[in-house]
Amino acid sequence: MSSVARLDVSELTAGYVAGMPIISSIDVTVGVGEIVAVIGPNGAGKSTLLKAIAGLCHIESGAIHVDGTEVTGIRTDKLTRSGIAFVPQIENIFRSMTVEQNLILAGRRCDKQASSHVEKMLSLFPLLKKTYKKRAGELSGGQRQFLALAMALVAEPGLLLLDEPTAGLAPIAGQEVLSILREIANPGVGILLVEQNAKAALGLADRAYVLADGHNQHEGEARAMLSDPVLGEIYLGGRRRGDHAAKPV
Amino acid sequence: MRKVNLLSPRAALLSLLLPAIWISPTSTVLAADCETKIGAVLPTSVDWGRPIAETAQFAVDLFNESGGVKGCDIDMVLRDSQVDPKIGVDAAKALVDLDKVPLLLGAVSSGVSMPILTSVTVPSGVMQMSCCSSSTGFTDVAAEGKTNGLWFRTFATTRNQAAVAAKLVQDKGYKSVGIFYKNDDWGQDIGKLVKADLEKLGITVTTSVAINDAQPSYRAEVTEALKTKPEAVYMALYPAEGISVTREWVSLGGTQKMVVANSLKSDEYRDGVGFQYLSDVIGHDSAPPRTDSADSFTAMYKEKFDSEPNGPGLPNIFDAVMISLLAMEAAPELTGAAIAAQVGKVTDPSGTPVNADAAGLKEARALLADGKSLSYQGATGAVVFDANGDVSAPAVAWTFTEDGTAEAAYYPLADVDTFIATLSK
Amino acid sequence: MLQSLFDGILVGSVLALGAIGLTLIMHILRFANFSHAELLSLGAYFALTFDAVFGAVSNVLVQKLPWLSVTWSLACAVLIAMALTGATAAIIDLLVFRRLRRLAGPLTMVFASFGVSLIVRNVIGLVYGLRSTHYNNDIVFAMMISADPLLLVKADQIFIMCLALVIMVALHLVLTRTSIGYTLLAVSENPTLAQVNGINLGATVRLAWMLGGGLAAIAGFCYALNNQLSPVMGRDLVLSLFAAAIVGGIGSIYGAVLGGLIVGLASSLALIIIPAGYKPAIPFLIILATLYVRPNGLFGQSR
Ligand SMILES: Nc1ncnc2c1ncn2[C@@H]1O[C@H](COP(=O)(O)OP(=O)(O)OP(=O)(O)O)[C@@H](O)[C@H]1O
Ligand SMILES: [Mg+2]
Repeated sequence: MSSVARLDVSELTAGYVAGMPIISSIDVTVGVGEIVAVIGPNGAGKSTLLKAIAGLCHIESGAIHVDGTEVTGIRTDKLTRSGIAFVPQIENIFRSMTVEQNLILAGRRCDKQASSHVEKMLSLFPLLKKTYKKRAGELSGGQRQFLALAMALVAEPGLLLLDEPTAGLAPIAGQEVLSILREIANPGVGILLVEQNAKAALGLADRAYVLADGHNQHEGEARAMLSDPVLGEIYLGGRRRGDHAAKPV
Repeated sequence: MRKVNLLSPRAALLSLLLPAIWISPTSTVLAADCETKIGAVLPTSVDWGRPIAETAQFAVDLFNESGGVKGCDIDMVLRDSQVDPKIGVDAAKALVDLDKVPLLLGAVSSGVSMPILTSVTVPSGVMQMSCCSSSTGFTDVAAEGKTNGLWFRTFATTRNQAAVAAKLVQDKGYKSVGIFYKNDDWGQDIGKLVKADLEKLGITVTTSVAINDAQPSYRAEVTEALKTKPEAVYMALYPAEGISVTREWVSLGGTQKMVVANSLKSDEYRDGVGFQYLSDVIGHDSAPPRTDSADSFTAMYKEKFDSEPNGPGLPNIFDAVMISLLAMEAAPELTGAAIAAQVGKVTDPSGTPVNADAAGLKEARALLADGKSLSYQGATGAVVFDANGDVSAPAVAWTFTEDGTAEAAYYPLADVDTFIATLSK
Repeated sequence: MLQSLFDGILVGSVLALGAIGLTLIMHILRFANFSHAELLSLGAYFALTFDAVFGAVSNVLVQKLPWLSVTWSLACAVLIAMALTGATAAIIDLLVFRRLRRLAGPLTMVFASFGVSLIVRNVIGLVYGLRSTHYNNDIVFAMMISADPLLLVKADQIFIMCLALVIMVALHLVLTRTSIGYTLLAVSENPTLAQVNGINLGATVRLAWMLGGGLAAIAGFCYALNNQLSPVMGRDLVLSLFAAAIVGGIGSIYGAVLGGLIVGLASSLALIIIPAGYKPAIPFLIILATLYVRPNGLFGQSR
């Protein structure tokens, strides 16, 4: 299914161990073709939120709907095959396999014309062309992020869940990724984007949520938030940390 | 006799599960009004140990009926070893310290007899005679002079079997032999002895290869031996690994001229390898003696117990008891050393032959009273101890047949002894 | 020396087949499966049974393959044995390991695998008896290829090596060219990410068990053809299999192949240097030496 989709998360409480929720009562909506950013400090539960939606967490209560169909607690591979792509924050490529194998594997979920999709990805991410036969473990950090993104896109998903896609990228490359996201979103693919670089994320997104301590702290138009002096002081005061690579998820 | 795995886990387990069984003296007629105590440490709590203890008591009763020792009845105080060295040592200690016995019969397994010998009987000057311990370790200890002449056993040692193996090789006319031996106490023992004996006979031992059990493949071991191109092989193995080694050996073109130990005298081995490859195999085994005295023991046993004396060690314990008691009769005083000193006198090959029945024992008493020496003829034949307290035994050679094994030759005790004597020269 | 090399490669290629399944399962399911070696026995005995069945059904099938001691019925039986062993492996997972995966830790799984191996071993002993048997009671004589240096080879052994090679090449092609192969590689590297990429984890785990079981059946058949069938053959092989898997690096299929060859060669060549009595220590020494130099095995990745 590569049609566009709408995501509704309501009152979601989830965590890794039963009885110890990390996020509580989270409400998030992504409309068709909308880019929604999720920002917040370290350990706020942003990654946990995406993983819960992707069916990789223990859900205590609440509901997740895609186009009005409930998908709460659905098996991850089924969700993926129904057109929802998730790019984890770390370990998002198969290091022992080649770039080609990674893309074919990821493209298999839509089966038909896998190779033409792969072609499309290579034209979208020309960097990957040069490394096509290389093992993914040998790629640089930036190349890995491109590959992970390409793996999500190769199956033409209707909705994208991205966990810090620009982490570890040079500023210019990061900008490039974000502009690609805009192109993707325009045909109607919704994107739920967790971003470290709040300024860039808010500049790109239509709407945004601020998460802290596992709770919804703030919600609104991205542009409005960008100019909100209070928020700006708390969350947008430049980069809070220099190192994006190798942090615990 | 097939090597009995006297310390098997199964036996140990049984001994834990079964309550200790005491065999009370069955003699009802106490002819004499005095009693002399001797001790016995035997594994009465395991299924093959009980008949040994019963046979011991049977021998004591027989001796008492014929007049006892110096006019007194013998009271055999029996304690269970549970096939456990620690329990066996405790039992022996109690017999020596509390019952003040000058003589101890036992134990069965070498692993129990040895600590009793070194830590109880020898330090307290008590004589010890075992029916069943076969380890050559005792020979070594005795040869080092550490037993003070107090140790005897009526069970032929591995030494005896090894010599017979060498004799078979010699009789077959093989000039060079490769040896496969099981890598355990018994296998190392016999492997080493056979090698030494063959070399003494001027037969080349091309290689001596240890075989561990439970190996996925024995190809490497077999190849090692194959490279040395022996004319024949000697195998001291058990069927499990024996089958694998033999098949591998034959398939790689190794010679089918084989001499094998008694452990391979089994249908499992013959069927596992295939009879067609075993026509050139000759094996050795110990044999019950073919003497009148042995037959008369069998008859007495059958009359008493209503079954054949087929369990391990039954003739051997019978003889151990009889010889010990005769030595006591001959001894001027009842101390371990004094009794042990008389053992040679009652088992003197040049002495007057006496049988182990009522008449024989009466005769023996008379002869001893006259200061004459005896040649005891018992259940295991004419028993003769060497300087280390070891005995020899007759042997058989056997071959495989379509449906079992057949005897190829019988080597009476004298032949075996003569042969061992030529080896020791 | 030449003979030892040949024998080492022969034993090694059989070990490699067995170790592939072991390493796959250990890596995907994250536990040391001590019952894997019993699948080798099971496969070998399944082949024995169906050999008898086919042999009874048709006279044509009792003909031997050219050169070999293997009959057509045995060859067919091996195919059935592969399928049955694979299915048994999957069923054991369903009944035992799958439940424990959800409820208990890896250590419990290891102990459970000990239990499973005891059960399988004893059932085999109960059904087929404790004595060792052979597919063919006639001893196949080796041909002398060369006298000095000594090299004795049986046609069956060449067959085993070729079979192992063909299977390894086939496996390599499946893993590198087919989507099933990608799926297995993906799950063995990162099960979560595999699911994120739309792979059905449960189905793939079943597939891995069946593949591992099928390969184990072939390995068991090859071992039994070259040595003998015995209910304890799994027990005798388990240490060498683990050594092969660990040396190669848990999870690496190519590592398992290399590990198998190293263990086979070392066990065979070592007797040139050390007395045969110390042979059982060799797999341990190889494991220790490898872990000392490369804690993750030759091809393994840390995680
Ligand atoms: N696998 C896990 N098991 C248990 N707790 C976890 C796990 N992963 C994360 N956590 C905990 O959950 C909380 C939220 O973590 P999460 O990764 O969702 O934060 P985040 O907002 O994505 O932070 P970051 O900006 O560092 O990526 C943290 O306290 C973290 O320690
Ligand atoms: Mg995160």
